[in-house]
Amino acid sequence: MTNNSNGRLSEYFANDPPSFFDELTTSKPKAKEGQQPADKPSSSISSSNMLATTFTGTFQPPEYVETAEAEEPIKVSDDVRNLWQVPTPNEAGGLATHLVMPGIHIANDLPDPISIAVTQQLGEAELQQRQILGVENVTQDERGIRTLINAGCFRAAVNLTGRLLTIYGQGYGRAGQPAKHSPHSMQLWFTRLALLAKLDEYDLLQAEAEPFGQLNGPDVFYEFYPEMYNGKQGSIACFSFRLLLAELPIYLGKPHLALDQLSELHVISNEIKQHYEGLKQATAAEFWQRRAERVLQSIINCALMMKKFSMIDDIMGGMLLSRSSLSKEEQRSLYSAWGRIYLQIGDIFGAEQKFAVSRRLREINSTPDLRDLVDKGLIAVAKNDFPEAYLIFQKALHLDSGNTMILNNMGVCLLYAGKLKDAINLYERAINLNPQKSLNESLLVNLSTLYELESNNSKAKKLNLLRLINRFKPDLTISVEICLKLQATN
Amino acid sequence: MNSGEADSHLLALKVMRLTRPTLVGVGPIVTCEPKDLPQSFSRMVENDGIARTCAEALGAGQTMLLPQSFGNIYLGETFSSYICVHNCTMHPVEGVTVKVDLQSNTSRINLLMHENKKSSVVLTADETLDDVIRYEVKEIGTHILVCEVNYTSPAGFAQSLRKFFKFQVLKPLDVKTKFYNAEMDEIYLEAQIQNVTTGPFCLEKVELDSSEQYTVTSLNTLPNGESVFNSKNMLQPNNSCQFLYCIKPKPEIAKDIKILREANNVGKLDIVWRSNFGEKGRLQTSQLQRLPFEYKDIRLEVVDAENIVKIGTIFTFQCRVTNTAEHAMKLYITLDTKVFPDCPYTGSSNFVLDVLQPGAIAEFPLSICPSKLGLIKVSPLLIVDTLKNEQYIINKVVEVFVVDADYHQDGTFLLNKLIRYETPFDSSMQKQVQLQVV
Repeated sequence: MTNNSNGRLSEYFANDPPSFFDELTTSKPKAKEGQQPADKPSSSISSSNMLATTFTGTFQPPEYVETAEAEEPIKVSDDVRNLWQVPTPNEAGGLATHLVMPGIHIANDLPDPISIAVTQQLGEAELQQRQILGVENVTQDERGIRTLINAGCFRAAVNLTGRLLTIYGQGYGRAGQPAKHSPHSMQLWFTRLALLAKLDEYDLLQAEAEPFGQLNGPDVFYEFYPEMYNGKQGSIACFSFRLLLAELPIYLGKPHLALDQLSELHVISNEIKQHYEGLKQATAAEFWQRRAERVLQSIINCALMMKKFSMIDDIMGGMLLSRSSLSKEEQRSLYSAWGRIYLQIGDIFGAEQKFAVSRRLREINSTPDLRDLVDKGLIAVAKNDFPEAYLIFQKALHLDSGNTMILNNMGVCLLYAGKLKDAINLYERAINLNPQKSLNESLLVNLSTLYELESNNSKAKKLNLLRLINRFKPDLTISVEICLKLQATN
Repeated sequence: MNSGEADSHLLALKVMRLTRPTLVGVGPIVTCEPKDLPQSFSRMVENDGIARTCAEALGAGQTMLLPQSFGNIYLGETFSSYICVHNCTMHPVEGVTVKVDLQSNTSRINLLMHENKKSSVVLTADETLDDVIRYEVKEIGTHILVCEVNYTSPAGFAQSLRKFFKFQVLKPLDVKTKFYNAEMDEIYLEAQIQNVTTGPFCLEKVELDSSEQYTVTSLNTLPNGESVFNSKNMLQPNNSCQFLYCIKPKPEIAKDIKILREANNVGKLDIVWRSNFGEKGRLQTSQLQRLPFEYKDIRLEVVDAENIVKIGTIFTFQCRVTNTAEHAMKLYITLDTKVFPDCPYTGSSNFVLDVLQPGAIAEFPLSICPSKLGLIKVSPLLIVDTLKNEQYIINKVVEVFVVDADYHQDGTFLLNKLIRYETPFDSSMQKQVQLQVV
């Protein structure tokens, strides 16, 4: 090493830990690059097998068939479903202070970050290609919300909940003002907040969820409105809403708080289950048992975030899988997930054991299915045998051609096996074949990473992806800037 | 690329460290019950991966994500990196060679790309020359990856393009050892392994590879072969795990006191761990040194004694004394029952042994008659060297369990050999051990 570069070395890394593409030589900012690739694709792009101009299609909303009554695995009466203890008001504060007074926190519709990115990077004209399902294209009711969710148009669905809640007098600026709650308004709130969680919109989510607390206000119970609901009892807010609010701190980086709230939820669910067991109402008890188990899964997710692996073992082995009424397929998926948790901390032996249990639960003499092959492929990855993993995933692809997760994993294997170009080709082919399905968040991150590694032309290629996202994707659950790594200087 | 720039090159060099991919899920898992308004949050268009059963809402994903940061690298792990040289012009570039070196504080290692390929290649437009390089890091501290691309410009001039990537190799574990010298020349080793990385890892293998003079029994598994650790050998950051080994000198070493004294190297600890998604690391300790056997002038062994005797019967045990001093001895042996008021046995002895030359041994039996039930301790044995007039007191000669006359035992356990040193050596000091890559 020359003295010259040594001098620069220390300058560069005096305090900073090395980052991903750290270079020690000063590189000039490449501001000019990628400014106008839209009109004149460079030679490297024309050789690529994927071009936005070759796509004539646009987003196609999937067929949505409204089922009259969604099927419930366990049928119970509303009384069983809604059972929840009305909280006793504490002596000091009156009832009124504890009422739930929610309101929407944004005046307008949620902005569409994909449109914004397209306008910034490609210009207004390109936006004409964006023809996705909007809030205006569906009926302004629950059915419309379901249609939008089914099509993956989460932001539009959020906007529709906003319109409907405004009709209920709980719209923009109404937070802190008295509100009347009904099962329908509570469902709208639940749907809205759940979608905000899915969309990574945590600031808005936190602000709008705050008035609900843990749904302990007296006015979210039927008992609060005796004349209106004819003596009906229990919680107006659905159980899923309680669960969502309890696990909310996970997303806000406070898993400890979520753990406390979820534990409480689990205790209550268990008490209700025991209550029904005492009454010899087996179906109702089973219904609440399932709910308690659903809470346990959220607790495991919390523990995963906190890296409390022994706790996961205790819950998995001691509580979730100890119940005999789980179906084989349910058990298999739990064992498989358990194995993957072991893999993450490097316990290959432990993971193999869990996967083996999952495999044995499959019907005897049936051929390995998708789950088995994916488990096996991941084991090969953990053992650093990427060529072998690739072959296993390839087998899995035969069982479900076009499966984005498997294609995604195959591309990763190719890179680690030293086949960068093949990996890029695989991803581009997948997008070519089914852009709507293949342009998912992880595949986009991976492909953008490969583009950055391949050449200095990554920006142009990423913008090409943006063009496709513009046409085919209603929403991404991770911001498009992150998916395409648009901030990277490359 | 703008060819007008002074430092512009016809080729671009890209480097990416290949840490393990991460497994990710599909973002926050939001579920609802069929009766709820959305009915289901799973999108039909994008039903990614394997359809979840309604019982599964776990965040353990199946999708692999490429590394998005450099991450940490620890001693004993393998550094691997993707190197890609790209021709960003419209013309072929000739004479392309890539040289990758890893420079540490003390050495510089050349890492080969495409081991089977010829030395220089022609890159056509948009073509890349790329491969993965791997190296097991053997040193802690600053490392610099030096990548150098050489090629010939269209005008025929040799061009060179270099990039440097600096990273720190960190220490993954702390190993502390404690030795105990026990009976029958046995040594016990307690090895404490601490995770000093920032994430959890699993100890896949912790073995003591014995040196030539010793044999090792690992005491970390149950008789059924399972590990003594309850679930898995997972170690959270800063947590430690303790392993126990029993080390014995091989018979040919044990019988010769001089060789035994010199055989200090008992072996090396071989440690293999895996962290994030199977990332593997391996380290070995330096040769572990056992504590010296502190023989003073004599060594007393009880070579034959029963464990259990009935009350009222004679308990006879065979003793062997070795002269470990450099001079001859004439030993006067006294077993006195009147030293303590409540001696649980009767049968005092007094006798003189023949002269013992240095290194020589003598055997003699001792007999007592237990007068109390329970575990009794035969003590003290007084040995006086009448030539130098030195006195040795052996405080615990042997223990025996005295049972009632009607006691029936299933089998007789014979302690074939017991050794007592005249001063029990406190060996509980702990020692930090150096680690190295195998």
